[in-house]
Amino acid sequence: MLSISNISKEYTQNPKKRVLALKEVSFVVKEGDFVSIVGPSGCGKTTLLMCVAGLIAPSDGRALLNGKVINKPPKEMVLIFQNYTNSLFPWRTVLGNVLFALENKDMPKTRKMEIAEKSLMSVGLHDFISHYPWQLSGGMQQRVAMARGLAYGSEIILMDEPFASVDAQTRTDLEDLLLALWERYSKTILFVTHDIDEAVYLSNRVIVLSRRPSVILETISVNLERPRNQLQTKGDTRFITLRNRIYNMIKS
Amino acid sequence: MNNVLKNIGKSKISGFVLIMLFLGLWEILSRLGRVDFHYLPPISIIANSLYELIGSLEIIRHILISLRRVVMGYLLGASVGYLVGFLCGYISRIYSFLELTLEYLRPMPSIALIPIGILFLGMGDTLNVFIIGWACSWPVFINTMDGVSSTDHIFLNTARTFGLNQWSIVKKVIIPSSVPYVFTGLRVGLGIAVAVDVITEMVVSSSGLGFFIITTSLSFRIPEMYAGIVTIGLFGYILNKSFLLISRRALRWQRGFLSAEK
Repeated sequence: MLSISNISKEYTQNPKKRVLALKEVSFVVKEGDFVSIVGPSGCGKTTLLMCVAGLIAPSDGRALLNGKVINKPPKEMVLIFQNYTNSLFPWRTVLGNVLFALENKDMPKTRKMEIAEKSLMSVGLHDFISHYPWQLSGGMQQRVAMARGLAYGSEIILMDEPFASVDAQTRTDLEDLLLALWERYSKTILFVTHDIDEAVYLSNRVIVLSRRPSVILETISVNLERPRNQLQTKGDTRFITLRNRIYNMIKS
Repeated sequence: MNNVLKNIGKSKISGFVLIMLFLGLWEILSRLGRVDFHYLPPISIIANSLYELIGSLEIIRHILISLRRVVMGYLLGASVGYLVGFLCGYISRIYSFLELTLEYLRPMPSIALIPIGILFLGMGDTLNVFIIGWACSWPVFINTMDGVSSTDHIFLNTARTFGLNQWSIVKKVIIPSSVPYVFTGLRVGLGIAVAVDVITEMVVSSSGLGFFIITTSLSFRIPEMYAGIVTIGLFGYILNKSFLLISRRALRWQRGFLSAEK
């Protein structure tokens, strides 16, 4: 279980200018849950995720994973970045990039290959094993990043606006792929996005953040049936009601 | 006509044509006495002189001596430049500490150090190697430092989330991502190494291509002097080409990466 308690983060670029990005944010993510964080652009969404990932230290409060304070990236957790072009290594092939996730694991090489190939298979990229990332489309690159996250084998996947820079059609494909993988491997996902539709469509719960200094405005449960469907789910009146509610919350 | 103009510069053959035209003009001007025959002998006489110098192995000996000095100086300078550049790029405190010293020494012409070198190292090969090494370490230093310090923070964060320790991050992320920068520095450094080698040989040595062209010039063996200069040009050209061949292999990913970004 992932519990965030009273996290605040203040940036001090210089002594005169202090920016309070997050203010006393608390929430809990249970095992197997799919939780999204939405908020206006420039609010502390990514900062919050970086604190949870153990990449930056909060100014106050703490993030706990199964009761242990997170002060460096825990092995039970993996982070998938928005900017896949800069998170995949251009000097490594697709397979090499996925194997990077297993760099630190103590297991025989053949086992690593097995895991990497299986992960690439599950995102449908096993035919592109020896390509370089820059030979693939944006959507495919993001799938490599997802395969690498899967190969790492952590229970929790943190995602920072992973589909923000692909076109709309690729985006819906990736959303459905993510849901399929989430169900198949029963992962826990904490997903940051600025896209309200995407948050409602994917999640069990949506955490709505305010403008800076960001506080939690509300946590909304999404009681829509699974498996979700791009047309039916997004056409459902309950979906539209939720989406409008969050929209008004963020705009006001 | 338009088509011909468009194709100029496209094919490699047009490059050769330019050189042939230039050499032809040289030959004619010299033969016609438009320029001083003795100071600028026709290219055919220079070619003949080069042929004889190769036949008598005289110039081969100088080439090998220069090659050895360039390679040793380059290896010394490149390694020191890489190491110091890596440390300065990786630990900014080291750079802050060394910045003033390095920025004072860097613009100083390496030739100006020859007098000091003579005092401490004598007039032998060690002096050439040291001066060459000094001169070509700077571009390697600067580019390595830039490459290391500009490692993308998303690369670094990615490696950290996968639990890599600092040593693995250096080995698996920082070193490979800085390779293109390092090669830029190495390439510039190689050109400098050849130039400085020739100069040091002109000033302090009694062997090598630099020595050969200055002694032939002073003793009015003009065709041989030109033959020596042509050889130096080829020498630099071949070294640079060999370097490019190696770096193309090492940087195959980078060329694809850059053209994909366009």
